[in-house]
This record gives sequence, C-alpha cells and structure tokens, in this order.
Amino acid sequence: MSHEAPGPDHGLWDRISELFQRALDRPPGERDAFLVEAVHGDSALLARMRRLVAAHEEVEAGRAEDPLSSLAAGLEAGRAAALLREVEPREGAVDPGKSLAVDLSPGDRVGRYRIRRRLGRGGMGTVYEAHDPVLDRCVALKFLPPLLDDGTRLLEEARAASSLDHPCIGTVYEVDQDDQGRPFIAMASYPGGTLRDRLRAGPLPVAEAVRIGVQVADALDAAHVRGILHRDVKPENLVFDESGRVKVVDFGIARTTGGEPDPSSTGGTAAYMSPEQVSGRPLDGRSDLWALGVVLFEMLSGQRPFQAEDRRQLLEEIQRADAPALGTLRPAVNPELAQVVARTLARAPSQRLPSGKALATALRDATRPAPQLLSPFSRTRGARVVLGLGAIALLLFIGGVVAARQGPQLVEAQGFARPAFSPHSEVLVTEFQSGEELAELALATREALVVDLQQSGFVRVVPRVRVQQTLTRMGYASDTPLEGTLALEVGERMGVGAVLETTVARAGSRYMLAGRALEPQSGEELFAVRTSAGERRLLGAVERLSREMRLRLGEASESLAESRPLPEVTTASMEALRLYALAEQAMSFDPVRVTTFLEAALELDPGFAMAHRLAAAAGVNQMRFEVTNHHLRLAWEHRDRLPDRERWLVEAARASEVDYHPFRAEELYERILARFPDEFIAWANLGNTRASWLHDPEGALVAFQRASELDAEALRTLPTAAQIALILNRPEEADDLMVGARGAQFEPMQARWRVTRAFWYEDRQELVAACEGLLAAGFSSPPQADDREMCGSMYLVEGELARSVPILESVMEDYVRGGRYRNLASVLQSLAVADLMRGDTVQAQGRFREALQLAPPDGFGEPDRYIYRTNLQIHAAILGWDDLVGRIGERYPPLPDPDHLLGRGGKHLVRAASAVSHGDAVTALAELDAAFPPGVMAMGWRTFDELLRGLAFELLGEDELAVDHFRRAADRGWAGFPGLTKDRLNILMAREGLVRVEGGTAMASPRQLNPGS
Amino acid sequence: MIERPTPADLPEVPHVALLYDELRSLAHRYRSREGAAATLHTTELVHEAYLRLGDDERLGSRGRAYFFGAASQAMRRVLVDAARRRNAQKRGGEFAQVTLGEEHVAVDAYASDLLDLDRALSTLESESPRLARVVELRFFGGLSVEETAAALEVSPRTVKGDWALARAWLHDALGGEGTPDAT
Repeated sequence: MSHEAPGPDHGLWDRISELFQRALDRPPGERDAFLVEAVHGDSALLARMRRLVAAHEEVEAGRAEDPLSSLAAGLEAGRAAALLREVEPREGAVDPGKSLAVDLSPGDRVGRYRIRRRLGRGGMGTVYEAHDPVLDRCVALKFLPPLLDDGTRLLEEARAASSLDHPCIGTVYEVDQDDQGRPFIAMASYPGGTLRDRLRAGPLPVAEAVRIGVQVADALDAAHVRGILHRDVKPENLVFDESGRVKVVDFGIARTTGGEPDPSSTGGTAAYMSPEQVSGRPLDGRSDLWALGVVLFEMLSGQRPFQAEDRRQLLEEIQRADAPALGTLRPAVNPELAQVVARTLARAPSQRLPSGKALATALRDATRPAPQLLSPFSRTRGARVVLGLGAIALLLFIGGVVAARQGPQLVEAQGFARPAFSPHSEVLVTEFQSGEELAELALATREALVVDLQQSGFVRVVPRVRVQQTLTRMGYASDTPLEGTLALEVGERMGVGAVLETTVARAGSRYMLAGRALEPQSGEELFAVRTSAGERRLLGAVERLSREMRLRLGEASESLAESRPLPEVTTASMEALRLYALAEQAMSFDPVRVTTFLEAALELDPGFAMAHRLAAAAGVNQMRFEVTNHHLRLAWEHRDRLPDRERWLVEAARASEVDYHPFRAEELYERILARFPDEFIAWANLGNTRASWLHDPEGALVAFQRASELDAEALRTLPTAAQIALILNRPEEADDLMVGARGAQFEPMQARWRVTRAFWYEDRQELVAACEGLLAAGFSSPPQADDREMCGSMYLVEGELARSVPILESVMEDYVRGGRYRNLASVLQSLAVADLMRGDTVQAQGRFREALQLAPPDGFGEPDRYIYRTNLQIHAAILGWDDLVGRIGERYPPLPDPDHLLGRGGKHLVRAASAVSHGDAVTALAELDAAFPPGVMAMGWRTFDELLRGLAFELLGEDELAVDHFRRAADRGWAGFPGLTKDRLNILMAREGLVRVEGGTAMASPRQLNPGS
Repeated sequence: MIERPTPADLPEVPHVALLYDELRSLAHRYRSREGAAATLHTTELVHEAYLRLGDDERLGSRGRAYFFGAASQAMRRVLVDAARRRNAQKRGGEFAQVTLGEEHVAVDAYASDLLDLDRALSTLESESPRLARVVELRFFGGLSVEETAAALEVSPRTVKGDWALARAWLHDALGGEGTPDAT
C-alpha cells in the first residue's frame, strides 16, 4: 500500500484496504477463510472485514442497490438538476437566515427565557439579550440560521463546545430548541463589548494586544486538545467580561454552516479565513491559529494583513500574498513579536506554530526581556575557581538528569537482508501518528510504548539521540518527525531490525491504536497489530499493543511474562502520563512548565515514581535542590513502581549523590550500562564518580568520552572530558575532543576552551587575548556575567589584580540585578582573595563575612551545601578566622547523619586546616589521616588534603615532603583546575611567612611538574 | 489529509470557495437560460466551470487534476447545501409547499438521500480521508478512475480498490443496522 496519506487512521485503513483487496482477489467462496487466517485472531477486525466484503458482494451481485448508484441514477434522472435549479448565485443571495427568520420582540418567551432586546443580527444568526427568571441572570440567546443545517449536527457541535471550561472561553449554559424547533444557544452575557468595538479606535497598545493574544491562544489550545475547532476566530467573536478578560465565543458554530464561516458575509469573516479553509482542505487547530494571527496583526497595526476590493480578490490574496511586515507598520512591535505573528500567518500549516500553547508561549517570550540562560559550563564557573569543589558533580548531575531518556543499544547488524527480526536487534519507534488534536495523547502513548519495550531484553529501542545524529548526517534537522519513508531510511541506515510504526486515532469515544513492523530495507510489512480502548483503559491497550508486537518480533512468552504491567510501572492515570510526557517534552526549554506539569501529574497519582524522578531532575535544572532531594526520596520510596532502567538510575543517583558510596555507585552504573549501553546519564555519572571520588581519571575520561558521543550536541560532558585529558597531560587529545563539539554552542565552547587552555598552561599573553576575545564575543547573557567572572577569576589566580578586580566588581552588579546571590557570594570571595593578595586582611575578612551572608543556605542540594560549607570553613580555618568557622557551621547545618562518609571527612579536613593555622602540624596530620579511607575522597578535597599536608610538613621543617605534597596538590587540582591550588597558594603568599612558595614549585605548569607522564 | 499540490505549488488554481461561488452562479444561469425543463448534470457544471476558470496552458495536467479535485469538493457543497435548503423548506418554513407532484417527492427523497450520503461521507472522511476523497471526485465531480488517480496522485489501481471499498463501506453504513463500528 502507498503511504502518502497519513490520515488519522492511516495504519488501520491501510490494513483494511489491503485485506479487502486481497480478499476480493480471491473467488467469493475462499474469501472468508482468507480473512480468518489474515486477521491473526483479531476478531473485531474480522467482523468488520466480513461486513465490508458482504456489502461488496451484495452490491456486485445486484442484490442491493448501493447508495452511490441510486444517487447517481438520481443525477441522471435530473433530480440533482431539480435541486440545483433552486440554487441562487452567491451575489445577491438572500440572507440565509431569512427563510426561517427569528423575529422576537421584548417580552417574548423562549423556553424559560424572556427576551429583553435584540443585540445584533448577522449571517451567523440573531442574538437577543434575555433574562433567565429561574436563575435571575442575564443571558445572551443566539439563534442560528436553521436552514443551513438539519439541526442535529448543530446541537451536537454546540454541546461539545459547551463542555469547554476555560477562563477565556465564553460559558454556554444550554443548547436547546424553541417551540418551533429553532435551535438556540443560551450563553453568558459579557458586558465589555467585542474586540471589534475596541479596534474601531485604532490599534491597541502592544502589551494589551499580546495579553489578549495569549489568552485567546490558551483558550484555543484548550479547545483543540479536545478536538474542537473554532473555525471562525475574529474580533466579533472575542468579547470582554467586566474585568477585561477576553472570552472566545461561538465555538464550532461556524461548522454548522457547512464547514465555511458565514457564507453570506460580504467579507468581514472571509478576512480571517486560513488558506486551507479557503481552499476547502481539511482543517486542524492551526487554521484557528492563523485566524488569531490575523487578529493579532490587526490589533497591533490597526489594519488587516490581507485586503481587497471584493471577496473573490480577498480570497485570492489570502492564498497568494504575504502579509506585510508588521514592524514597518508599527515600529513599537519588536522583531521577535513581529516574527511570531508572521509565523502564525505562514501559508503552510506546517510552518506555523504547532499549537495554541506554543503560540501563547512564543508571544510571552517575545515580549519579555531575554531570560537568563546559564549553560551548565558557566553556571558552575564561579564556584570552580575560588572554591573549586563540587563543580563537576553538580555539572554532571545536571547534565545527567537533563538528558533525554534513552534506550539500549543494538547489536549492530550489517547490510544484508534479514528475513526476520533477530533477538536483541534494535527497533526504531516512530512518532505516534495522530491528528493534531490527539498530539499530546500520542506523545503519552509513545512514552508508554517505549517504557514497555524497554522492559524487554529482547528488543532494544534505538535511543533518540542516535536517531537525531543519523538525521543530521542525512542532512535533515535533528527534530524532523520520523514518518513514512524517512523512518525506513533512518532505520536502514542505523541497521535496525524493524521500524515500528504506530498510530492513534479516535473513533467515537474509543481510541484506536495500531502498530506495524516494517523491514527497513524492503519496507515490507512484517506484521500489523491493532487494538482499541476507551480512554480509561488506554494504557492497557498500549501494553497489549507492545506485548503483541514483542511477541510477533519473536520474544518468548516467558520473557514477556517477566515484564510488569505498564500501569504498574508508570501510572494508572492516562492523564498523569500525558502530563508526564508533556513535562518531559518541555524539559530542555521550559523548566517552569515542567514543574507545573509534574505537580499536576503527581496530584493525580502521588506514587507516580517516574514523575518523581523527573521532578528531581527538573529541580537540579532550576537549582532547587530541596526539590530534587524531596523527589529523589519519593522516587526511591515508590521504587517498586519504576521500570528497571529508571529504578537503577535512581538507586545509582542515591548511591553517588545521597549516600556517597562511590564504589557502589560505580557498580550500579556499570550494571545499567551492561543492559543499556547507550545510556547517557549512566556514562556521565560514571565519569563523575570516577573523577570526583575514585581518582580514576583514565576511567573517567573513557566514560565522559562515551557520554559525549551520546550527547546530541556534545555539550554537557565534553568540556569536562577535555579538562581531564589536560590533567592527564594529553593536550592534543583534549583539543581533539573539543573539536567534536557540535551545535549551537560550538563557538562559545571553543572560546571558553581557549581561555581554559591558556590558563592551564599559564600563558598570560594568550590568556589575556583569549579572555578579550571571549568577552568581546558576548556569548553568555546578560552581558557576559559568567564569562566575565571566569576571566576575572583567572586573572586573579595569575596575579593580574589590575585586570581582575574591575571585572569582578562589575560582575557583582549583574549578579545583584539577576538575584544570583550564590554567584555573588563567590565573586565576593574572589575579591577577598584579591584583598589578601594586596595585604588588606581586614577588608578581606569583611568581604568574606558579607559573602557568607549572601549565599542562601537553602539554595543547595544536601551534598552540595555540605561541600560548600566545608570549603568555606577550610578557607576561614587556614586564615585563622576561627569565629567565622563557627558562624559558617551555624548558617549551614551539618549532614543529618554524623557517621556519614562525607560529613566525617569534611569535619576532619576543617580541623586539620585549623590546626595548621595554629601551627599544630601533628594534629593536622592526624586529622587528615582520619578523614577518608584510602582510595575514596570527596570531590576536589583531595587537593586540600595535599595542600594541608604540604603546609603541615612545611611547619615541621620537612621541606622536601612539603614540596612533594604541594606538587601533588597542583597535580590533583584537576577537579577544578590547578587554579584552585594556586588560588590557595596565593592566599598563603599574602599571609607572608606562613609558607614559602616563592620558589615557585606550585606555580610551575603541570607540564613541568609531570615531565614524564 | 490527502497529499495534494499545495496552493503554493499551484498558484493559479482557483480555490474551493471561489469554485463554490462559480458553480452556484452557473447553476443559476442554466436555469434562467433553459428554463425548468433543462436537465443539468453535475459533471457538466464542473466542466463548464473549468472552461470558465481553468486554463490548460497555465495549469498543465497536474493543475488540471487539482482543479477538478477542488471543483468536486465545491460541487458536493453546492448540492448538499441545496439539499439542506430543500429539507428545511419541507419541514415548514415560510415557503409553503404549494404542489406535491411526483417529481417533488422524488426530489425530496433525493435530497434526503444526499444528506445521508454527505453525513456518512463525513464520517468516512474522519477515518480515511483518502477514501472519502475518491468518492467526492468520482461521484460529485464525475471524474473517471484515471482522472481521479491523477487528482490524488495515486495509481488507478489504488483508486479502483478505494472506490470498491468506499462503496462497500457506504453501503454498509447507510443500509445496514447502524454505522460500521470502529471498535
């Protein structure tokens, strides 16, 4: 069968069509047997096919006259002509409302309503203001021109529309007929007039126009997701309530006139018709969005985008002309907003924003100041140079949880035809095909399908990231929907065993799910399955579909039996799952919506563990670690409801982030990777564990490299991998890695890499050039605060106070404006270091205290907060500010578990630092020995450990040993650049006499320190 | 949705709304010209519209096919609207039914059948747009199998199969008990 018609029931109808054809190819006597065989036990399909074939045979045999033939005979007999003779030409056509004109006078009764006055009359009918004595309220009664419909459909449509409950949709009280059978709609009466009234005074203020646009877009979205189109969005149908809120009225009523808004209108309505409406093509929600685009254009510019002398010309304009540039008509409209409006007026629906929701978001985004975008790289930078610790862990946890969910890897099969699906081959799951109104549902069903397929050890779902990479290599955009032949091409290139093509469609109150497996090389259908269910049992249907497909791909039924029921490992609430899928979709670009969706999902199903896991991830993205901890705990509590993959990830996250069992975490990540070798999160966090805790830079590099390959834009782990290569003294490898960066962040990453590299090699001239280049490029926003902080801090470590201090001071202003107090605190600490280097201990301590006040104690996750606390305490302790050590302890509480590995180790480190500053080297060394078991140490604390040992041996006069430790401190500083060590050493240099570093071993470059490695 | 040339591809093809207007005024003109006795075939109307609005040279064969596709759709709406009007009058509007001759009864019945067909076709459309389009083109536009295939850019064999299937479906939908259930 051809695939050119991806209709709502595409898969199902192709199947029906194919079976029908094949049945007819056989002699009548053999058809039934064929069908029984061909439907593979699908009894509903069999029943359906039997009816169709019987109908066909009846018609063919002349036992019955089929409706088309009899109607065709009517055509011949001139009955159609008789009908057509009554047709009037459009021009001068009588008002269609006239023949059954409603003409009511004040005081007349309609049902229980009493007419007060006529409000208006137009092609769409007559509207009266009336009083409802029962509820004592004012209503608007709208009569529609009945001869345009037999009434039934009008009532159905209007009732569907009346079910819409949205603050910006006009309330419909009832739909009924009067005693003469004339249908009418009783709706709320809104006193604020229509948008048309307002437009008479000219264009609206931009903010007002956008506010109205957003409300209408939201309202349309609420209707579209329920499959209801408005079809006649125009200023006359946008009315205002007493508070000025806009209400969209007359939903779906246009349909009753035969699919066309207001045929008798002389052009008022036609101006808002979409090109597809004009040409009579099937409509979806995007047609309404076009109309809203016209309204927006009119609100902003005071004129309509398409104008013509008469209707015919106007319709041609709509089809052929481009809307004028909004920005030239109204300069106050910013280019982003003009762009959004232009997009809604794209002639091809596919070029428009996909939904009302997307339009509302785009409108809001276009009119507010650019949000502060923090790349993971820049986000952690402030802390890295001055404090150095925790940065990588944070970065990776962020990276890890942001990552799109991915599936297992395939056993690569090379290019020969595979007659059947071989075990452990990959499958490519296409997007669920659906109509626009089912798009969200399709998203949710696909989510559920993938979860179930991932429960199988037999099939492996191709991870999205590899699909994206393949699409890019083929020259497509990475988000091109996988449909039809493209899915086959991608599948063939990736060597998958089967392409699973799925559809969801609504049939009455039920949903049809269909899936078929295609052999990617030949496009041959391996099998097709389908099922249906009401909304409440949809998830069960997805499970049936998945299990059936798995079975037909060859999975043993015992293996199938091991998979847990889909509602049990996800949620029984389809609505919660839909919200989850939406949250996941919003994950990469709209963290606030993610939280909203997940909160709603969890309200429906508080034990929805997958949603807890995603909420934990979202918390990290928003730097709301208390949220992360909360949801991570709940996800763990409900771990029985997680599929294996998710459960292991949560378990491993707990081991590495909550329990600090690095060996256990490594083991768990390795276990996940054995089953899901393409799991980005696991690779990235394995790298993190190895780098931060297990001092296994080689192993970490391998993991980070693998993670980078699995990262569509290689953004999240590549810089870390490159830094580790530098630490291992393999600069060429580091540079090679960075060349692998792709995508939109390529340039900024390269520019920052140049700075990092210059810093690492202590090439001051290059550092200055690199920083100037980076700052001139202005990548981060607002005005490059993060990049400026990075450069300011690096200059500081290099002793370039004259360059550093002005930059850092200017960054402070940005952070104050942005409310980024944690970053502000770290800048203050850098400036305190500058004070120390200048010998101004008093000011340094003042700044340090100020910093302490600023960093909010609840702005961290538990481990991160404790690490921050300990870092601050070590700083203060080394400087001999004992009272501050206590204050810090009060502000940032210790870990609840006193025996905690991290807590115990940190406590000993602080004590050692304090002992060093009091000249008690022996105590310091004893504390350090007690801090951590061999082979394990938190984050970059290894550097402090070496530094403090160096200081202790210095005190003991063991210069040779001290130098050894200083060297290792510089060497180990890889967790946060050697700058960390140098930073500390610069503080100590400023505290003249505490330790002699003028000889400069610690200031030497890593290359000099490790000449042989 | 049926894959068809988009208006952008074929800027010269008149759109359905225009064709609708055109067909209506053509039908009207026929009546004035030839009186009530004239028989009028929908196919003729569509072809007449093409003569007036289409242009072989400008449109080429693909454009021509698309034109007839759009015209068939417009024809369906013209007929269905006329049938609705007829039905509404029958139910008793301002226009009293003065005569009830045999022809009137037949036309009334025809109008009802047409509306039934239209409704069934709309249902079919929501399930399989392509099948519904085939019916529209062949029945309302009077297109041959080959012309239909050209308009839909599918093979004639597909059209034949779709036609048979659509016919069976409609027969079942209109003649059987209730509509075929999709479950």
